[in-house]
Amino acid sequence: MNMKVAFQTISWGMWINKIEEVLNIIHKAGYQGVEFSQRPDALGVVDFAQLFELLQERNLVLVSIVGGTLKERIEFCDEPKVEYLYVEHWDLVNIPFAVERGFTVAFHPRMAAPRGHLVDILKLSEMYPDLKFIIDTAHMTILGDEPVRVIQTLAEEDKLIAVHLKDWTPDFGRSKYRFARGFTTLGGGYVNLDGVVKELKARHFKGWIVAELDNARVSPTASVYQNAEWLTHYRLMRASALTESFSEGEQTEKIEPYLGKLPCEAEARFREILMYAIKDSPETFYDCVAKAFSQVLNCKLITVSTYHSSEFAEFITLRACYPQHLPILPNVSNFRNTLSGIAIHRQAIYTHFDLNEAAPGEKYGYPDRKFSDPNLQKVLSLNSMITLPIFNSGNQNAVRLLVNLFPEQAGGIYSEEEWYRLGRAVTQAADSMIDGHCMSAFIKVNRLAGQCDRALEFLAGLVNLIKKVIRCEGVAIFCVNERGDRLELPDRLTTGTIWRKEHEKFYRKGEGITGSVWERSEIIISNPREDLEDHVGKSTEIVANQSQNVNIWVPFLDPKGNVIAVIRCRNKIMPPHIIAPSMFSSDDASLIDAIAQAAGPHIHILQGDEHRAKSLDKLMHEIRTPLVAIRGVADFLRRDDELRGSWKYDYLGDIWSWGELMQRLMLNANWFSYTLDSLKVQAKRTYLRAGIIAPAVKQVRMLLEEKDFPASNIRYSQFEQVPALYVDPNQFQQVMFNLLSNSIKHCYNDPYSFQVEINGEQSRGEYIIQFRDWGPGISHKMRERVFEERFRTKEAIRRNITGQGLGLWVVRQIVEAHDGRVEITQFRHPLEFSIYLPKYLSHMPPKSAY
Amino acid sequence: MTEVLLIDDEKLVMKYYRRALEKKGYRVRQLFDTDSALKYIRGKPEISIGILDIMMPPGDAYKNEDTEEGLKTGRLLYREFKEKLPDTPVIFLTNREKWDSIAREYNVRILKKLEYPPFDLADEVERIIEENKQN
Repeated sequence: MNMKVAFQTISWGMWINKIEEVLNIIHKAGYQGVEFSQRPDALGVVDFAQLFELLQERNLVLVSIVGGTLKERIEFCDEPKVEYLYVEHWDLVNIPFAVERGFTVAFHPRMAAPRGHLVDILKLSEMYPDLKFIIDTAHMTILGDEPVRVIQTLAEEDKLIAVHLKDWTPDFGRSKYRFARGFTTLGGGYVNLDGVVKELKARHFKGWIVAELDNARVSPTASVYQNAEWLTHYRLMRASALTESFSEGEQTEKIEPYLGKLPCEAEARFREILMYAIKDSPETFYDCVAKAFSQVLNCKLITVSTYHSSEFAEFITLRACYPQHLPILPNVSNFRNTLSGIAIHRQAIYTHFDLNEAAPGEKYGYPDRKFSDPNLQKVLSLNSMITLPIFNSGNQNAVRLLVNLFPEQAGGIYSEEEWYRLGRAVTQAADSMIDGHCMSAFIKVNRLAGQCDRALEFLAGLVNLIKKVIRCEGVAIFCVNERGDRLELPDRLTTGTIWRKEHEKFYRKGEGITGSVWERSEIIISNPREDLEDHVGKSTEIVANQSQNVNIWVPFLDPKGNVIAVIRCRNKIMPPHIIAPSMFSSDDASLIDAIAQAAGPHIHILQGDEHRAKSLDKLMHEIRTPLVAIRGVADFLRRDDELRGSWKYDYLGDIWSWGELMQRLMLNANWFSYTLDSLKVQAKRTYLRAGIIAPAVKQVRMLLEEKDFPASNIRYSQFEQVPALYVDPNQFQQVMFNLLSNSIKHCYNDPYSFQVEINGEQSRGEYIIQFRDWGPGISHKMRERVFEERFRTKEAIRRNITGQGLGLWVVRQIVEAHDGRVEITQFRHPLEFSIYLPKYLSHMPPKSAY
Repeated sequence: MTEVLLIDDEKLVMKYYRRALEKKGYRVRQLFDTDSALKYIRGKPEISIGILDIMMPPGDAYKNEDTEEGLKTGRLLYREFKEKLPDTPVIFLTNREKWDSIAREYNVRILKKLEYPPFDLADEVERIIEENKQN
């Protein structure tokens, strides 16, 4: 089946130099249409008529033009001979204008921009009934909305006009500055492209399927043909007869700007400053960017700002200026009213404004836009402004930074290609800077994970790590609970968080910003100037400056992409020499996202282990109940004088002994699911012979009887040299039980060969309990291995001896918890275990005792 | 006659503990659910000792509290007990392991049923009551 398939020209970058060659390649590869990502004035054509003619000659449909503002594109197209026009979220008010002129307008939901989720799309659809939608498979996947479901929903309502086929891997995380570098060629990522193709075919989709990728590791021409191959393989396109004739010689590469009149020395200094800056912190990096631009142009002022747009607000925030310490507005929210807003919306390499004109934005179609800081203009006598948007690597339509240059003189402005080169150098330096910090954060998280056995310990370490890496006052990590219906702070995780309602210390999905981050799986940054001023959260971290109230939320994901936790940070701390306001930025988001990406799998594993331990604990609890009942009956009958009769005694004794045996076995299993609490020693002054060894011998009675081993073959001395010691009698009975049961289990089935001797003596500084066993013994190579958790000798396995390999491991845990040590002091004839206990146990409990 | 208050939802198992205590000469008030236990405690009865289970269904009284599926109910009852009967000794008797952190936090003794079968518990209760009388 052949569907309508187009190719998007973003692979060629900001300009198309030789449009005829580009169109030839797209046509030869078998596509039916073209979507131009460039601005209308960057297509290398005189006017729309010329463009349309070139397309018609090659039987290609003009699917859309993406670059520039909606008005610019309408003006260029003149007539609605284009399938649809993109509309950005800031241009939605112009939809009626476009529709009146006969154009179809379409919205492309995307990451790191407002209204990306399906739920937002549906609301938009209600507000603007004429609006259609372009669904990008990679963007929807990253946003957590399954693309097949989105396609189904929109197609049902006849709202779907195009599908952008794109693939993605989470290797670079989900933060605004880095996620786009995860875009890959079709088939190279995690997107459910099979499902999408099936759905489109099942529906006989009449809209456009567009292949596009702006950070392909291959040339644009190779990208055209690789996508064509994939589309042909999936039978979305007919195989091109000329595919095989594609050769390297037919390529049209991305434009490489010539050097132009930019002074070599100046550019060299520019690049050098950036090169050294990539090792700095993000805050200092932007200072260096401003300084670098001062090398290439004499300016009264240079400002570097970050651009941020979210569901709640859009604003640009000052990060650096040169010279420093000038009275500049730190934030410009609602910048659409300003000249900088024009520059961002135009997506041009640079925009030049004459500030002496009454309406500097008029020549770009925005006569009402004003310079954002008139006071500053007056104070510094600013005459002109050059605004350079710095685009996101891997997603060149997305603005990342804004550099505003205010030259000393009107002349000396560089060409578009030269500005492009400088801007691109900043993008690459910014990428290197943030990558370096993210990699360092990754390593720190993995190192921390290696040091932690428990999820709580790891989370506590992460809280401290995030505070240091991001430099903020408050950090809390809310985890999805076992039932999956709440976000909670783990018990005993110290975060300084206070809750407004004592009995509601959790978030439901979608509740508050924290719950919304869980629901939508997105990063949110907020600052006090937004519409959230009236928002009173359910909880907050106690910080020094309560009024500052700037926050950032980042989700943790497990390997399957499900949110397992949400991090919230409060109050950014800026270094004293930095003039920018104390606010979280997308750089902070990238760093926390990298930490979350590294930590997510570790938390998943640690919690999994603890869940298994809890499951085992539950199982144990179930077993305990009948055991308690059996012991209860037996105890009652055993000690109730009215019921006791000699004929009952043996049965009762059996019940009692089985019960004791079951208890000892279960305690071993309990140690396996141990937490730190299990190691706590409840010490009592105990005589070893009467309080530990004698009971333990009774406890193995059933094991002895099973093998017909006489209990009298277990001999123990009077322990005259060992006084009463402060030990946990229950735990030490377990030690003896394990040693005895091992002896019984491993001894040959010969009652006469079974001999055990238990003695106690003292030497300098220590009491020694010696356990001797005349069974088969142990190889000296195993002297330490036998104490390992779950270790079983080959012999034991060969002879099918029962057990989990826990006995000696438990022995060592208990002895060490009593500040002692245990070792094998002889390997056979007899095998001898020696338990050494410190002398001070005769008058005080061990250090870890409760 | 000295009264022992026994609060635990496991009826079958607890009957042996009840009988052992009665054999010891105590009158036993046995309650199996949280609501009746709370009602009784709030009446400030004259008892010599309270023996509580750690994990119990929350009942109507605590249905709006976060009891972690009953894991915290015993602790909530304990607090009520200490508030209403501050001079009466109270211990936990439980089937579960790993409660040492609770014992520390609440400064309360936790006896495990596996280690204290009925008559051993009765002996321990006798000891605690005597100790309390002397204090």
